[in-house]
Formats: sequence, C-alpha cells, structure tokens
Amino acid sequence: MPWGMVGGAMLVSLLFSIQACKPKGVQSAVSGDSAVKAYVAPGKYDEFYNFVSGGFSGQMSVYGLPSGRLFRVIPVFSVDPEKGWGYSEETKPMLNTSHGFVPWDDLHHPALSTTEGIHDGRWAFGNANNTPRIARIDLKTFRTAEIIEIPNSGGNHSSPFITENTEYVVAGTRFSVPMGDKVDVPIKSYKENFRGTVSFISVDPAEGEMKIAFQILLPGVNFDLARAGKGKSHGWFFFSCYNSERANTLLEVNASQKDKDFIMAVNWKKAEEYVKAGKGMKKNVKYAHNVYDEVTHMATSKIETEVLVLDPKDCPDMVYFMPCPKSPHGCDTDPSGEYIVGSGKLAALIPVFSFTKIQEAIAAKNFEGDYEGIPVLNYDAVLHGEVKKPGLGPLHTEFDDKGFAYTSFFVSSEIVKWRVSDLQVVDRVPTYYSIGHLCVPGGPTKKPWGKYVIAYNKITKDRYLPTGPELSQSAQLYSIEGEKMQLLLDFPTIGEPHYAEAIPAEMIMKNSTKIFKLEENKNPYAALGEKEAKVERKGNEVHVYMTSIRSHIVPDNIEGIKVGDQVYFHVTNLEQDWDVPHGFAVKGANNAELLIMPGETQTLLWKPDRVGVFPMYCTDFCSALHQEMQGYVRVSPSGSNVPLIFSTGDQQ
Amino acid sequence: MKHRIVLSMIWIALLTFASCGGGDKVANAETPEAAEAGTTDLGQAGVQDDESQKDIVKVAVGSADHSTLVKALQQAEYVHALANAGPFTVFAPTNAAFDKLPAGTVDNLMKADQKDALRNILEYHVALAVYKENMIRDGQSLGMANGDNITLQVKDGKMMVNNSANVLAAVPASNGLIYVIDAVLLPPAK
Amino acid sequence: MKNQIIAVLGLGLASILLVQCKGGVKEDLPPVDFEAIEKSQPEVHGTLIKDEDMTLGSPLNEEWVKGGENIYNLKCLACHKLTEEKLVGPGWKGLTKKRQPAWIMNMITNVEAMLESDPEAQKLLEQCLVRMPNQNVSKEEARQILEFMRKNDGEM
Repeated sequence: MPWGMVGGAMLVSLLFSIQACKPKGVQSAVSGDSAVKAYVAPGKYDEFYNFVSGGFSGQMSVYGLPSGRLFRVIPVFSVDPEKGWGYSEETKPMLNTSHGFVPWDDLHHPALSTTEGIHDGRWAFGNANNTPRIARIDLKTFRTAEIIEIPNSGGNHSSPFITENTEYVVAGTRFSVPMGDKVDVPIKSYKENFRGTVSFISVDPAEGEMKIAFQILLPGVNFDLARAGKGKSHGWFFFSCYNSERANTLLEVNASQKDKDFIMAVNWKKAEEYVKAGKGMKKNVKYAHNVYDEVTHMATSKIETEVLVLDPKDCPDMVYFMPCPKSPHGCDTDPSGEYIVGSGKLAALIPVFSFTKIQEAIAAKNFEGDYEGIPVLNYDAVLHGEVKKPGLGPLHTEFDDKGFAYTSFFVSSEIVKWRVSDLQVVDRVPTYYSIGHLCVPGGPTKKPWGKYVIAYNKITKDRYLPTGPELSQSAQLYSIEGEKMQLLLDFPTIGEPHYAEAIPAEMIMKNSTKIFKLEENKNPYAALGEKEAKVERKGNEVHVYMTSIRSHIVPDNIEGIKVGDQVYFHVTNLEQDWDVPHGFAVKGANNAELLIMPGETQTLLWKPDRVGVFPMYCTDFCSALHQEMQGYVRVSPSGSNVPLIFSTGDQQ
Repeated sequence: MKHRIVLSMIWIALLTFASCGGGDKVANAETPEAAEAGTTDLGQAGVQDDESQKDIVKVAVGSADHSTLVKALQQAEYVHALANAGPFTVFAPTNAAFDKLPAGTVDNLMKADQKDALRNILEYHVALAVYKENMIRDGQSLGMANGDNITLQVKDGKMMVNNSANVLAAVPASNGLIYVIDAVLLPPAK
Repeated sequence: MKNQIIAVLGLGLASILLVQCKGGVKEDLPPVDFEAIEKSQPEVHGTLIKDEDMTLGSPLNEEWVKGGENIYNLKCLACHKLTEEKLVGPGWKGLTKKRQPAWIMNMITNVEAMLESDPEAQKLLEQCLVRMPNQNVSKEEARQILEFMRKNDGEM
C-alpha cells in the first residue's frame, strides 16, 4: 500500500513549491534595516533589560534588548555551583521547603513590580511550578532575596501575577489536590475530595517582604494563568481555568470535553473585607519562608504553620466564573483594565470580555447557572466581542502603547496583531517555531513601553547549528514601531524561555549595587581585615575565618585539621571595588565553589575524607597574580596531635 | 589623539542619527541583506530531517492516495501548522474521497478567492489532541480546529465520522495520528 | 587629561541625545544621565586633589589618627605593612616624607586617574604588578589615613 512508501521526489517537490509560494510574511529572515535596529555597538548599553524565565532550569536570565546579549543568569530555585547558590552555608536555607532541601524547580513566569500599574524597577517575582513557591529577586543586587512556599497547592503555575501597586502576588494551583486532614484518598475520588486554591501573598511596600495574606478555596479545576485588573478594574483578579470536567486521568482527551471552561473573576478588595470581618478559617499547614539578608549576608528559613482560608460559600459576591471557550490558557487584561482577553488553546476565536459588562451582569444577576456553588455569568452578557479566526492555538496576549494587542499562536507558529477597539486582525508574522509566550516591554502593565515584541519559541529545529538531540530554545525580536511587524533578530536562550518581561534600562541600572560595604558586613563569621583572620576549633568543627584580596588569602597555610572534622571556610572578600569577586575552592570538597562579592562573607563546608595536604585557591580570575592566590591545608589522621596553626607569609 | 576624538564624535553623531529613525538610507547602504545566508526560512515543514519519525505532513506527502489533500493543504497554507509539535488527530480523505464530491468542487476550492473556505474545511479535519482508537466511544463529539464539532460512531469495531465517512486505517505520525477516511467532511452550514 | 574630559563630555552629550530620540520609551521618563552614573561609581571621585588644597595641621588630629588606623586594619593592611617592607604594595614607613600629601590622597581615592596620568604611580604599578584596588575610601577617610601615616612616620 502507498502508506509508508515515502515518495522522496514528491517530498522534494512539495518543499520546492512551498519555497516558490511562501506564505505571506515569510520573507527571508531579515531585511532592510533590521541589522541596524538590533545592533548595539561594543561598549554601548542596551535600551531594555529583558527578564526571561529559565523554565526547567529553575533560574531567571537577564538579556539586553535589542541586542539579545545575555548578561546574567540569576539563580532562583535551582542550585548553581558557579555562584555557590545552594552550596554555601549562607544560601542553603533559601532552597529549604517543608519537604526539606529542594535543589531544583521549574520557573515559568517573571513578574516585575509595579506602582500605580507602571513598572517601578524594584523587584522581579518568579514562580516554582513543581514544589509550589514564589521568589522575589532584588533588582539592586540581581539576587534572590526571598522565597515563600505555597501550602494547599499542587503545582504553582498560575503565578506570580501582581496587582497594580504590588499589593499582592497571586499563586493559583494548577493541580487541584486533596487538602486538610483527608489527603490519603483514592485518586478516583477527585470530584469529591480534590480542591483548588488561589493564594494572595501580600508584599511589604517598603521592604518587599512577602506574607500569605489569605487563600481562597475553590472547586477542583486547573488554574492556568492570571492577570490583575488595573485602572477601572483595580481590585479584581482574573484567572483562567481548564479541566472544568474535573478529570483526573488522560486530560489530553478528558479535559477537552466541554465547549467552554472558565475565566474566574475574584473581587480581592471584597476578600480583604471578609478577612477583616473574620470570615477566614485558620488552617494548619506547613510551609517554608526563606529570607536572604544583605547585611548579615545570610539566609534564614522559617517553617510557618498556619494559613487563612476564605470559602466562597461564606463570602458571597467574591468569586464569579465567566464561560470561556476551549481550555483557556492566557488571560490578559489590556492597559485600560476594561478588556480581559481569554485565549482558549483549542479555540478558533479569541473572546474579549468587558469589565463594565461584567459589573453590569453581576448587578443584574445575569447568571447562566452556577458551578459548584459559584455563579457563572452569562457569556453573551459579559462579552465585548470575539476576534474571529485569528489563527491556531492562541496562547497569550500582550499590549502596546498604541491600542494594539499581540497574540501568540502555538500551532500556527505566529504572532497576530489585532486592534483592541474593533477586534480586527491587522498583521501577522511567522515565528520559528511554535511560540509560547510573547513579550512587549511593559506589555502587561498600564503603561506599555512598546517598540518591540519578542517571541519565545519552543522549537528551533533548523534555526541554529545543531547540537545533538536537544536544541536551544529561542527568542525572536520584532520591531512593532511600524504598521507591519518586522523580524530583527534571533537569539538562543537558557532552559525554556517560558515568559519574560522587559523594562527600560534606566529604571534598573541607576540602582544597581556595586559593592557591599565592609563596614556594614554583619556576618557573624566575617573577618573584617586580615588582623581578624584566624582558625578556631570547637570539638570536631573547625572554623576558618579567611580573608581574600588581590592576590592572597589569609591564612594560606593551615595545619591541625583531622579526618572527620567539619571545616567551615568563612571567606570575606576585602575588596571594595566593583566587579572584583573572589572565588574559593578546596580539593575534594563535595559541593561547589564559593563566589564572594566585594565586602561579602560566604561559607563553604568541607569534610576532609583522607590524610594529606590539600590545595585551595581563588577560582575567579581577579588579577595578574590570580594564579598565585592559593594555599594549603594539611589533614592529619583523626587521632593525631598535630597542633592547629595557621599563617600567611611567614617564610622561614 | 585630537583627531581620534573628533572622529569618534562624528561617529556617535551618525549613530544618533540612525537610531532616530531618519537613518534608513544609511542603514540600507551599510547592511545589504546581511543575514540572508544560512537557514532556509521555509517554516517548520521545510526542516531537513530524514532520521526522525515522519510528521503528519511527511506521511501525507508519502502517500500516493493523498495527493489531492496535500495540494489542498499547500493551497490553504496549512502545511507548516501540521508540521508543528501538535499533537493532532487528522482525518485524511483519500483522493477517491475528494473525487466523490460534486464535479468541479475541488477545482473551485483551489481558486485563490476560496482559500478561506478551503482552510475552514481542512481545519474541520483536524483536532488538537491524540484520540487513539481505544479512547473513542460511540457517539463521542470532538471539537475541531475550525471551531465546529464532529461526531464519531463506533459499530462492530469500525469507526465512522458524522455517519458519513468510514475510517479505513489509522497511521501514527511523530506529531499525532492520521485516520484515513473515504469521504470529505463538510462543516455544518452556518 | 583635557582631551579625556572633552571625550567624556561628548559621549555624555551624545548619550543624552540618543536617549531623547528613542521612539518607544516614553518621553516622561527622565533621560539617562550616563555621566552621573559614571560619577557614582566608586572609582571616580571627581577631580584630582591639588597640593594647594591640602593643609597639614600640627599637632596631629588624634581622632583622625584613630579613624585612619581602623580603616587601615580593614582595608589596607592586607597589602601594606607599616614598615618599609613591600608586601603587595609598598610599605608605609617614610611614605609621608617621600610623597606629597595630595599625591597620597589621590592614590587612595582616585587610583584610576593617577595610573593614567602620574608617572610615579605608573612606575609603582610596574614594580608591584597589581593595580591598587579601589577600596571605596572617601576623601575624608583618606585624610584620616594620611594622619595615621604621619603618626607612623613619627610626627606628633
């Protein structure tokens, strides 16, 4: 039979004919002035910072736009031996959870803090999908400052979207799970026993510290993505939900049965009133709250045991569902806050809801019915309109400063530009290939900066030189200054570039920390000056208070260590000069290096396993005499009486 | 030394000019289609790969019985989408199925001004998920890429679509599953 | 030196121009003052101090001596001995007799500029092979260190 008999000639002829009649817009990669538009001359700064999630790498990466140059990978949820993150004693507590130390996670969405709905350049938040957590990154130091675990959650995907003034960061669970006392239940009892939650985490306006303010207990659907209302809809939050079928197996088929799932609208100002009125129930839970202190240069991890839960049954007018076609994924609010765009992964249209109409429908109790006791608003009553036949597999929408929306389409691998006012498609460009999220600088905020749209692609196949079975995922930069989108640049990314935000460079760079002042270093193990360098034994613990400065460490000769000791190298970098970190490593250490910023103290734990003399050295090329920056540790048998001595420079 | 400074200031001024959007002329003169070399830019169906399992497009191209469908996919610019990661279930009418349509129907659909209608029909043959035979129940409804639903019938182990098309074979592809059918599915009239 | 200043000014001006005509960035954002950013970097403390700006009092200001010693222990001792012996950098004994006060102050607070323009500083770099790191010392702190150096050289 013809099947399986591949007509090579036909394939070739098909490919030729595709080339001959390329779909509109699939011109050669770049044309005209693309190179100039994406070119940032050596020594020049980029115009935007692009904070790109690392997906399954667990980290967040920082690129420059328009150049696509990678500046930094910020370790967040995954250990990073390069930076000692999760290996140094000071950073280990950051990765603590109620399950103990977790060295990896899956970071999907960055969210940049806003004030009055506009980027303020203070913090970036990121979510851990697998072991539910939210991280806050300080944009002065580009370091993870805080991580909070989310209890009663089974997979923190619908997160970390933020309200207009960063009052709250939300965390909606993707997997509904059994919770409370009754968690050992058959999976088949999903419909009875599994529930979803969305958590509202308050953010201290001055210091940024996070706290779980309340959770809302919800039916067992899957929460996917979310956006806060803004402007007129400030005070509301919108979450996309799929699996309203509440299937617990083969969701590929079983969660696609209904023609419509939901977008959930939460009146969080109302929720605050219920919390004040004492409607919340305190539930016993266990979750870790980890904070990094830039003064002691140490993290602490605290296990919290209580969370406040609101049940919509006791709190009327707080939660509503709006029908939305076919497993909605993206749920995006336009800059005015009036329109909420739902993107059904399997839908052939994009519904756009009107906040004004939602309010009218609620006032008129214009409900289709209820879902598990929560009112379902009438679809036609809340609909502003539908973008018809926009493409295949709509996922996410961002907005520019000129009244246009940009929606990504996974299956048809394209970005479609449409006008928010009349829902007309005005332009489309192919992406290479299979775009997921997209990013317009300021695109999710009240004040988009516009200028570019960046596609984050899952598949690159023939776009780069091949590197075996796994290929780099990619970003593609398009200019949106003209009527037509124009492809400027491809650049490879780390991990999976899931979502990203971009912010004008000047909002971040002026605040960037250059050094930590030695005078302010309150690490209890700091050696502030070489006079304070010393080695102390406490039982089988040995504490080395070490200093490092171009180009020596003090002490650099240590004797009297015994097999079975736990040796803590507390290394203080005495430099007070920007961009001069020192590294530290000792042979055979079962962890990683330390990378110590100027003025900082970091600690490496080493458990010598054999007798001998062990080299140690600075790992970060710091000066012309970097290669001289080294020393030795002598390790004697456990019963030995070699005295504990240390020195630097006493050449006999 | 002084010369160098003056030169660099001119250069900076030029750059300033170019970045103001008034520099198109300068830009074109200096970078004539610089990035033309390298990849094919065909789209996903154009990726050269003889080693991997064949995707839906390559399977269809390899079947002499589906040349009409392949032509229709090309005409509707639907080839790249079906080379995507998917996953898809595609109901693939044979050439004979197309021949069963009233005379002139196919020729008409292949006209440039009928592209949207053709695309709508083809999307009515594509579902986004893999529906294996053992998952399909009699009377099951599937949402298709064009927004309409089809209904499946299962009788005596044989599958039919919309009570009109017989499923002749199931052919796995790297990005989904193809059911070969003996009639073209027509979306419900609106 | 003068050339350098012109170049920096030119660059600053061009940068401002560049920023002002960026289409996508909103005009109400303050333009980037790259010059200010450069100035706020610890290695640049403005213009060099001149000899005539300096006055040395007698007797020594003991409070400054103490302050200078504390800073020495924290930020200088790693490389400079109080004897004549060279460690990473030169020993400090006799330094205040050999060098002008402004030269010492500039080496502490403005080492980049000194290494570019001062032949003595360049000679020292050739001898020591290590650029003196900027240790984020302010002019006031440098003055205290100078007082401590004078004490180290036996002044009262």
